[in-house]
Amino acid sequence: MNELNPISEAEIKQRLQVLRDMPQRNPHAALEGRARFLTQVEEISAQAVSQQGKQRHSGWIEKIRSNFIQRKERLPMLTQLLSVILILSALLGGGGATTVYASQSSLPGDWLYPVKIWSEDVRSDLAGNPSTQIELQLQFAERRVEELAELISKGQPLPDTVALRLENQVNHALQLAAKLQTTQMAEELPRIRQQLMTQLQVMEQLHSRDPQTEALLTRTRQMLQTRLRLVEGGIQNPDALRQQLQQQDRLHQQDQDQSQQQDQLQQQDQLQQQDRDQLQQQDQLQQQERDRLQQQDQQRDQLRQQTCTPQPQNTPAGMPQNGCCGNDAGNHGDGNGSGGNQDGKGK
Amino acid sequence: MGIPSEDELLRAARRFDRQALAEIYDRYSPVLYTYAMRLLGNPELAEECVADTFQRFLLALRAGGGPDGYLKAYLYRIAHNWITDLYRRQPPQIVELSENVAMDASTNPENAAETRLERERVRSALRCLTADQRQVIVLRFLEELSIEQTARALGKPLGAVKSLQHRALTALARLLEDRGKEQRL
Repeated sequence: MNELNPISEAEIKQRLQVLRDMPQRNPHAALEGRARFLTQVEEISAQAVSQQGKQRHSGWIEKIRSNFIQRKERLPMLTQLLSVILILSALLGGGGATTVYASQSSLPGDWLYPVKIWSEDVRSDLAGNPSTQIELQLQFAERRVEELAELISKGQPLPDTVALRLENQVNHALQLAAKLQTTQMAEELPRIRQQLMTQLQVMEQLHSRDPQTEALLTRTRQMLQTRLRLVEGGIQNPDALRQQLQQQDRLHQQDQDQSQQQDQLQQQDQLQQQDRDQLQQQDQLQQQERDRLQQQDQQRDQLRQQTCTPQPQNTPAGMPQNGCCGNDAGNHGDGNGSGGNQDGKGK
Repeated sequence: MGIPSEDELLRAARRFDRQALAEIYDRYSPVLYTYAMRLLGNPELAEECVADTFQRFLLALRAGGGPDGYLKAYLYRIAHNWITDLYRRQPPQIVELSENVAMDASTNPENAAETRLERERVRSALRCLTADQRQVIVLRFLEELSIEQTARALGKPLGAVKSLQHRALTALARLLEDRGKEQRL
């Protein structure tokens, strides 16, 4: 605790004392609150008894249905978490619930951290209501900031992926808000602003001596500041925010398209190169074949020269030579007795 | 028959025993009100927070949920979530002077004004903490819960709460220092 500088822990506790003594509760308001609570007790217990009566008639199916469906209405977050735990339990053979629970306090680099991220993704996918989705994205973004703070306090390196995920979650919350009706959007944007301000406050307290880590922290702070300005502008003029986000979307889409085009061009280049390589290989093979045939012809010529006897002077031109190259006569048949095909192309 | 324990009350509350539920309200609504007032500084909002906390508790009981034990920690958690939601929905509001000065009316007006300003500074600094940091500070140093009780209220392991408390104090120190500088300027 010696890190607290310049205000000490004792001084903080001292300053918190100003919130210790609160004005006395208004007795009328307190009595009204109590009366309202007891009325609710009557109403809810009556409903509970009535439901129990129905359940007695409709048996175990109704009991199961009421347990699940009522919880889904009243406690949507709990139901989602339950779903996640059930899915993971099924996948991990019963130990899933414990694993998911344990993963929630894990940090990047821990072996359970992927489970934490996965459970967040599942919860996000299960959320149907846009408002709940925004709430979840903000919650997860807050977790990322907490993780950065914890890693800094432990002196551990900050993975880029945490900052990237934080940015994606903030962006996602903004995109969801921009798709709402203007009245709903007007309710959501102040919530997002408040959350971004809190995250920025926390981020501004984080510093590191390592230049790379400090650079990442600075980038993250700048990202939050940009988004905060965007939200503040959106509170004043929701349509302008929508346009800005659509523009960003378009730019992002263009980037993706360009990247895809580049990929396609690269693929085409690769294919052309492969074609060229294949043709070159074929040329090489043909050349080898030509060389081989040429060698054969040369060997044959040499053999012929060795085995041929001198011709009599009166042999008519164009007649095959007796006892020499008789086998070649049909092949060459050019009548000049030159030994036939020299370049091997005829083969 | 002596004062019923928290577990006994909870068992009776699950049967919708009106007397037990009334006892729970009488026992815990004052502390929840004070808790909400400390963070919100607005009596109407604090009453609303208490009312919604107990309503959610009743609905949870009806759905077969609610706490398995540690009722007080459970109620603090509901109230905390309610306040966090409110913070997200609403930007910071200026608190009426009269409501805070009422308590200090017998004292010197200058002192009363200074106390009110300091209270707002501290409250505003608390608001800038993350939800968990804020809750750990309030529960530990204002509601004077033990570290174990705070861990139950937050639903986190002891080690995580200790680490959270340290970070919360560090953050709060910086925030209070910043606000002090702003004030001096």
